This record gives sequence, C-alpha cells and structure tokens, in this order.
Amino acid sequence: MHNIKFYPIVMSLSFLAAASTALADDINCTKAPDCATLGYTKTSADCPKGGVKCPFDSNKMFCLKNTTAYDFQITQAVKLYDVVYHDGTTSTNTAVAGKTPIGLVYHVDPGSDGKHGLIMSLEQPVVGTRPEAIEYCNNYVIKGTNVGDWRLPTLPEMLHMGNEYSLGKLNTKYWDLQKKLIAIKNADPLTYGGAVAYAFTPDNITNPKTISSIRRISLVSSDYYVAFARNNGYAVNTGSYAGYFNQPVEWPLVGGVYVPAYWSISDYGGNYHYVIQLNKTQNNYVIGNSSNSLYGHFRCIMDF
Amino acid sequence: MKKISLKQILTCCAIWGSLIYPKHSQAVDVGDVFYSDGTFSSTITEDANKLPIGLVYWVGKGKDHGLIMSLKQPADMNYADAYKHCNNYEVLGTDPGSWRLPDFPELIMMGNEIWNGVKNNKFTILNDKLSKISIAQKLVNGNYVAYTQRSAGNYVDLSSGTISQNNTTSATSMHVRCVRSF
Repeated sequence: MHNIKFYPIVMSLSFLAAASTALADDINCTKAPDCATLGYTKTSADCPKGGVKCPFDSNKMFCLKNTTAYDFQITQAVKLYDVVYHDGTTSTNTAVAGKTPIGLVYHVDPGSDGKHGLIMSLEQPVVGTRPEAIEYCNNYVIKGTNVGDWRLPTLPEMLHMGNEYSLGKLNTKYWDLQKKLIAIKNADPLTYGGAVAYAFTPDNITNPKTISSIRRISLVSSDYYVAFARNNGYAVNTGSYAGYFNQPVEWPLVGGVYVPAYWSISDYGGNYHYVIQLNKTQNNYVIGNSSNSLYGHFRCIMDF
Repeated sequence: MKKISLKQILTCCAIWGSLIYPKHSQAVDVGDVFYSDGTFSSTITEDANKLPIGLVYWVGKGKDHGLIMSLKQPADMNYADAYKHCNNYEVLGTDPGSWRLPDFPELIMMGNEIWNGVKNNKFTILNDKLSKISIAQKLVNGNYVAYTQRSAGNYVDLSSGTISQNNTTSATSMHVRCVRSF
C-alpha cells in the first residue's frame, strides 16, 4: 500500500481552485435556452405514456411514444436510397449482418443535411380500400418500430416516389427505388402502372423472389382484380384474365390489365381522395381521384 | 472580482453543448417571418437593418428545417420565365441562386390541403401573415406554376387546393412564387 503525504494533495487542490477561478473570470455564461427550443413543448397532461421533463422548467415535457417497446430514431445523416435498418442505422448496402432492413429512404428534405426525410416500408400489402389502407398503416409495425410510427403518405409525400420531369428532363426516381427494392431480401417493389406486364432485365434481378403468394392488382376506378401467383421468381396470372399473361414473366411482375394506383391520405373533395399512378406511362406519375370503397395500392411511410 | 462556481461552469458548458447541434437555435413554425439577417420570428419587425424577406410555409420534423416563400410575387409569366426569375431572384441578405421555383410537392404544400377530412387552411394562415408585412404581397386565387413538369406543365390552385397536371402548355402564363429551403 502506498503512503501519500497530505501536503501534496492540499497543494493540488489549491492549484485546481486557482485555475478554476481564473478560468471562470474569462467565461460569460449565456442565458439558458427556453424549453421549447430544446423540444420540450408538452405538459404532463399531454404525455399519458410518460415523458422527459425539461431541465430548466419541470412543467415542460417531451412525450414518449405510444408504446415503450422502441424509440426508433435515425442515428446518422442519410442519403437518398439508403436502406434503413431496425436499429436506426442506415447503409447504401442492401444487407448488413445482424440487422433487419425495414425501410428505404425515398426523400431527403432539402436543407436538412440528410437528417430529415421520408422512409417507405419495404412491404407492400395486398390492395385495399382507402379506410383499409389508413388503418393498415396506422397499425403497421415492424422490428425496431412501434405502432404509430408509420402512416399513409400525403399526396406530396407520395409524389416523391415517382419519376419527375424538370426543365424537360426526366429523373429516374421510380426506377432507382425499384432497383434498390429488388436488391433487398423480402422487399416488395413498387407497382408498375402499365397496360402490359413489365419484366426487369436479368441484370437488375439480384434477389429473385422464391416465395409463393397471391396478390390482387387493381385499378381504383374498378373493383375488378387480377390474381397473380409468385412462384420461383415468376409471376403467373391466375385470375379472370388468365390468358392475358400467357407465359411466365420474370419477377417482379407488378403490372396488370388495368393501371393500378396508390392511395394517399389527401382528400380531393367530397367523398373523393387523391390517388397516384406512380408510373403510368413509364415516365411520370399521374394524379387522379377515387372514392373510398374501391381498391388501391398503398405504401406506408414514416418521417424522420 | 466576480467568482463563478464549478457548478456554474459545468452548467454553462452543458448549455453551450446543447446549442452546437441544432442548425437553428430556435424552433421555427409555419407563419414565422424570415429576416435579412438570417433569423426567424413569429413577430414582424421592419427596420433598415432587419427586413422581412420571406415567410415560412412548411417545417419538417424537428422544426429546424423547412421551406420559405418569397414575400414578393412577380407578374404572371410562363414556365421558362418563372424558372429564370426565381433562379435570379435577389433580396437583401440572400444571394442569387438561393431561391428557386418550387417543385410540385413543394408547391402543393403552400396551399390548402385536406387530410382525411381535416383542412389545414394554410392559404388563409399564410395570407393573414402576409397582409401584416408592409412589403409583402398576398397569395392570390388561380394557378401557380411548379418547377416539376409533365410533358406540358404542373400547377396548383393554392386557394382551392386543386392540383392539376398536363393541362396547360409551357407557354401559359401563371402565378409565380419563389421559394428557398432552410
């Protein structure tokens, strides 16, 4: 055991005290920021599931989410088309060992330095009515996220999924998203809106589907649907228009006889609501409107 | 000599640390005024050193970024002229090139929207604020041109929230409002 003399400790403390006093003379403290600036904008009444109190005003709180299972947060600045994983990390890679891909960054807010934007789910459910779409997305949950994190997009948010012309030049957003979705295991592609089936070239198929399932494809202006079976990378029409696709088509076949459209949460007016055909003519989206009860595609999103 | 305790020093450091990360030290809301010195405020101040130059019309999650519309509205013009006008738009405190013609989704968010039966009344909210700024011009009824086109042009009637596409030619004159992001 070491013996420590008392006077060196006293000397050290004296030097520390002197140094802190000198340092303090050069520091001008600023006024504490208000709690709203720091994100504490709620009261305890607003936070039935609990929250965190502002250190400068205990009456102001930051609410915790509806459930306490996860608090999903993006952990780093992102880039367009980054894959989002269950732990909030992102990567340009379509697979990371030990992590579950749960979404794809399809829009980055201008001016946010990659910190904010929109994530689309990797799953595209079977078509449904608009109320079904709203309910599905409001209750959608996947590893790392909670019920309430996802929702049906607004019209402007939906438009970011499609190709757009600017100054007469076409961007390739829709196709770039498709290429990424195809490469992610178990991800569903966006639905192609053409009058004929579309097959991706073999070069684009890095992860052919091998599952078998049935999916309805529908135009919201008609409740008629066509059934397809996914089977070993092929989609085969098994519905009433069975003769239309008279040969297997390479996955992902997501087109149909009718042009499918996506639901948005935005209302057109009256009982009609905005729908978007993301890629009707292989170049651009088309906006339409439809009543609640018809079938449409939908894709859940979350903002970050 | 005024002495400051170690506790006060640590508190001070903690506060400085909390101020480093946010891009803006103040949460910004729709309807806040953007000033020539780069600041935002919900109140209106007009003097030679601090002029209002824009109005926040959309804020993203975290309220530290969003979109600002110009206070000025030029005479109606066609798509090509509107594009040039906004790219060259200059106002005290901002450089040419920092403003632009809004893309289609950005323009939609400038007007009234209804989400599952709930109307946001943004057109009225923005115009109420614009009417209180002496150098600002209010949004008007009719169609505004978007940067994003189809083969002809996209436009939005901000007051009705009606969204149209491919129904006009690029030569058609429409209302114009420049925007910038923050």
